[in-house]
Amino acid sequence: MDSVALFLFFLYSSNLFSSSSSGETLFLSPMLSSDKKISCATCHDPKNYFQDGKKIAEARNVKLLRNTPTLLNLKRYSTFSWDGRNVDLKSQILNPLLSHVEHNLNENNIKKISNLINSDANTIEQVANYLEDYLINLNFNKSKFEKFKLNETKLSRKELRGYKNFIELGCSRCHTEPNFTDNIFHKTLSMNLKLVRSEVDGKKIYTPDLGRGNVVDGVEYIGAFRTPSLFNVMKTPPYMHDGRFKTINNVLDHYNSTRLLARKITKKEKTEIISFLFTLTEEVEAE
Amino acid sequence: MNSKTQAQQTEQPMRFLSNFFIYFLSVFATIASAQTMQEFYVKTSCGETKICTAQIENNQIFCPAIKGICPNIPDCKKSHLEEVPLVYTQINVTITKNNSPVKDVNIFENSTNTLIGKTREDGKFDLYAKEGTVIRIVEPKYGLQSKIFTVKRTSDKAPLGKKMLVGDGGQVGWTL
Repeated sequence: MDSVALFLFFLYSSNLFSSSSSGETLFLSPMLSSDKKISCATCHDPKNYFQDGKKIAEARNVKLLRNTPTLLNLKRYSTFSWDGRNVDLKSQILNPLLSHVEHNLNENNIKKISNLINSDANTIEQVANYLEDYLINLNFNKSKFEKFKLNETKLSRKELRGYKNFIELGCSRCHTEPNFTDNIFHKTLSMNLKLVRSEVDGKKIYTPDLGRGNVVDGVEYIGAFRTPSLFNVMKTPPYMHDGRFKTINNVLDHYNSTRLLARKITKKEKTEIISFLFTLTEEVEAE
Repeated sequence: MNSKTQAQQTEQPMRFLSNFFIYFLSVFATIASAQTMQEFYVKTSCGETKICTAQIENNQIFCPAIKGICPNIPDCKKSHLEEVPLVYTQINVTITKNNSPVKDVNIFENSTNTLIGKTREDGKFDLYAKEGTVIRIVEPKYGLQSKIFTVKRTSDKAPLGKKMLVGDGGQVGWTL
């Protein structure tokens, strides 16, 4: 009995059956797809701040419409996807799992796949639960800016000037603290009703990407996308919903050409803002 | 005397029944007409026109609020309404390679970006719209595919017994 109790205690205290570790296994395994070729990490690479660094998402023989967002800022959002179509994280996770252009899972194939990965998830719902648990429990080291706000560290003069410019120029109107997103949908790019090309199985599909306007009523939402959080922004290029800007400099140049800011940004202010944005980088804790 | 009385006696219940039946029919007809649902073009106080499914009761027309199609209109009087024939189009969205229906496809009236509805489990949606209305239907998950078509009548038949015309443009086959 003692040895049984000891064994059970060992099992309980090990992470073998914790949902976070199951979630990580599922997240990393390419077996979690009908053709065993793509994993969640294919597009959301943990070594690359949980994104792929590409202009638009592509996996296997699919090119989708939009830039892959990082998964590091999930706790900062009230809706998910660039157009906010998913009101909670679980629905967002289920979308690519069930989509036949991405993981292409269903209740028929999930049990077999789970066995291959040695996971105890027997339904799509369980898979989504484990993944959600894994993602919301990712541990980070606080960013320099957050430590600064807690008086745990100081920002350099350049970083402080950058922060001041960030506020004075009006960037903080949409990229509001503490999450550096207001979770609202804005049109900050010229309304692009041109057809955007995506590809599935070699077939090109052309469609205008109307953003939030394809999800809810109202002409004001045509071309509107959710403000992304700026945490980790310096590590997750390219930028905007369609990845059109390769660097933050390009983004700042774009805003300089609009009337969205309080005034034009000078070259010096740009470098200061970029220094400040670096302070929003979080480092994922090593396992 | 007796036979006449008997005839009278037989006739009276019959007349009563007949009268009752006529009365019942007239009441029924009144009720039926009192609660007729019809599609109208409604002019709101700010000059907008919207398609509104209105209820007629006692010659008064009430426009209940229908989200996305008819804004909240406090009691519309008959003089404000124009009866406009609407075109019925059945939207039918399927995946091309296997004909499976696509549920929850968003259907917008394009000029105002008004979300009219979504396709059902069978991939279908019954659309009633004025001829010339531009409709946009959008794939729900990624917005990867969409179609725009203009409501156009193809027939003068009114298959549903209303002042409806049949339209086309609703068949959509998607690759996803």
